Amino acid sequence: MVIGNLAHGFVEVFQPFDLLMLFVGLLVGMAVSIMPGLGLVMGVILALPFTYQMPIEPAVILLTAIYFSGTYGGCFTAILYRIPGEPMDVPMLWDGYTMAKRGQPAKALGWALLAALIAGLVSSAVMVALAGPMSEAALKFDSPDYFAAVFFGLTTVVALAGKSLVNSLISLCVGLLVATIGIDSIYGTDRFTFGVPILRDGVQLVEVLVGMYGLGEVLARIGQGLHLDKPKEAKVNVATQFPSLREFLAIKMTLFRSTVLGTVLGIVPGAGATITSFISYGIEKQYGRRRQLLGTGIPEGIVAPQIGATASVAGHMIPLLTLGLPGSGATAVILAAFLLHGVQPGPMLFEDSASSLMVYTILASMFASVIGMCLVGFFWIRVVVKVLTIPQGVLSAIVVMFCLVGAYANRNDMSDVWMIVIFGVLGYLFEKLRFPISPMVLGAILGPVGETAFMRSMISSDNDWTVFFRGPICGPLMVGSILALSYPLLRQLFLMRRRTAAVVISGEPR
Amino acid sequence: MSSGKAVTVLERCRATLPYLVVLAAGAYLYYTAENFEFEQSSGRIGPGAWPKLILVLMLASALWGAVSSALQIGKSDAIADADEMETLVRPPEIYPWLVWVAVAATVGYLLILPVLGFFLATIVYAFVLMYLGHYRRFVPAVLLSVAIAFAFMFMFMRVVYVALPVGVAPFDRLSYALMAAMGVH
Repeated sequence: MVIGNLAHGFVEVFQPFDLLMLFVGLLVGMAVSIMPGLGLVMGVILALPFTYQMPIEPAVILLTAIYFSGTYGGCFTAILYRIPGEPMDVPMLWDGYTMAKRGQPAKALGWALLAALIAGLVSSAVMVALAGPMSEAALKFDSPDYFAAVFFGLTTVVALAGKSLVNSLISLCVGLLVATIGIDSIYGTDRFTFGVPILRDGVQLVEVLVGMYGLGEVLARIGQGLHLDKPKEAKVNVATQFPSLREFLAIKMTLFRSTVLGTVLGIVPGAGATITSFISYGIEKQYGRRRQLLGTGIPEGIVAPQIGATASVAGHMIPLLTLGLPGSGATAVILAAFLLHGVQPGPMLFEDSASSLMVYTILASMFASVIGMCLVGFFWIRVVVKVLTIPQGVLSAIVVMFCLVGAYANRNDMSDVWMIVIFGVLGYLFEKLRFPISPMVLGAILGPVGETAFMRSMISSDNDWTVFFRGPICGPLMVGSILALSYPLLRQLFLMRRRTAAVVISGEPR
Repeated sequence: MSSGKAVTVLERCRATLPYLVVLAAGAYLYYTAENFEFEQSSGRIGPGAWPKLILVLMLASALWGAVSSALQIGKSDAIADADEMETLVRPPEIYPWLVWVAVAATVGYLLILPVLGFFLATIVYAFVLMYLGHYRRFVPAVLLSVAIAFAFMFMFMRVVYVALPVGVAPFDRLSYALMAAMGVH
């Protein structure tokens, strides 16, 4: 059944326009992930306005392809020039760049390509197999279960988003409050509109996403002086060299460990490509056979973070498609694309044949994206790396224009552009004051879903809040949420105790 | 020694300020949520219940943040390590004033957009943005600004079918001429 649906999906993906969008998405994803300060979330945001006039399938295929190749493209500049295109590429500097400096840049690129290929294909296969059962389970959800699922998603995002739990919580609350602006759907009451007519319609998702991630990021970069070390031209001509079968088999446990970890962590909301990349590297450092050699330019140090980053993409796509819950900034934008096309992702998508074909087309495009990004990486990366030669000042002007015109294009309304500027400044202040952006954005997106489920549950249970803890689905999810929220506090306590113990030991007389 | 202490106090105040702003804003919004107008039906929670729940969480978090910043609690070695690593991907801010100039330029752009029209306003704005982004070669910057304005106009009016502002007379004549040249009606 799944195989048959997937085969139909592949037929759709190979329609000329879908295939073109896939290819464009792969190139855009590579380009934005190579350029420091842009990143894959910026890539999907910049592409969003172009999807308004498209059918839903090519629109989501375009954004998914950007998401996948965005996890891979950054490895080139990290390995060759020690320029991390995104935070997720930082672990790649330690071993990838060191291996390149030792005279093996082609081999380092080969390891990264192989890791991305394995991670993408395996995690996509696992997630496609889980999509059906997950959507069936989601159909059994009632209001308290749905609220608990949203609550679990938001708490894990908060727990994993930043170094400060307090800042993450405030960021989340700001997002949830932004979602309450406008006319309340149950009572028809004006909430936080302050007599401003445009606020009565509520704040558009596009305004929050483009402002916070797009304009805010450019403003932060302007403050940093748009600094970028230019690459040395000589290395641009480096090719990719695959490892031998013997070398491949020598690190099979790293491949296995990182793939499982990246796929599983991908399902956890908030554990984006950066977190999975760092955790995979950290686990390798703790349990790897050659853990003492990590950082000296060994393949394990390239493979583990690359697998972690790429495997997380499929993990994030499935909760989005089956539950309608985005777990990262990029999936939040993809959700916005669905909603702008009038489609609400969730278990109902799997129920009728037309929407089911759409879902399986998107799932098939994940496999095509993985293979496509590896082909682009192998053959065309020399062309894509040229984006590093575009002056940063020119690039920032182009990005800002995409943000402003893209927002205007949504409804042909100047008020949307003003809102972008407001959220852009807010995004810049969040960056400057070290408040993580992802909880705010996901709060703004999931807020209405959470509120509706909360109000329905409370009304049907006569305001009994224990309803969220009694059910077989919502109970464990709520407990999981509390554990997720406790995690940063426990980690802080553990680190403080360890530091105190270290001070005591170093202070002891010999 | 005393100056070092004074800096520390200043730093603590600076770190506490954002939380105090959140506290003030949160308190005001809570007051607003308390006074939402709606028809009360017996036994049902009102439209302010959900926002008030969020605001309580926000106020509690901001209070905790204010107290811990004022007392400098919780800065661990792990955070210091992470800060070091972060400088690799996020350089420190060196021109904070440039950001506000860019914001002012953006506000100015939005104000002149309905008057000059998309094409002319965008040429000026793109040039200013490039200048702020340290691209200071005058002639290439002007040419690039014109190219950006033209490319966006073509892309969004011809391909995505968006009605970008054309401006008022006499500036609208240029917009209409360009639209005619692009085949936009």
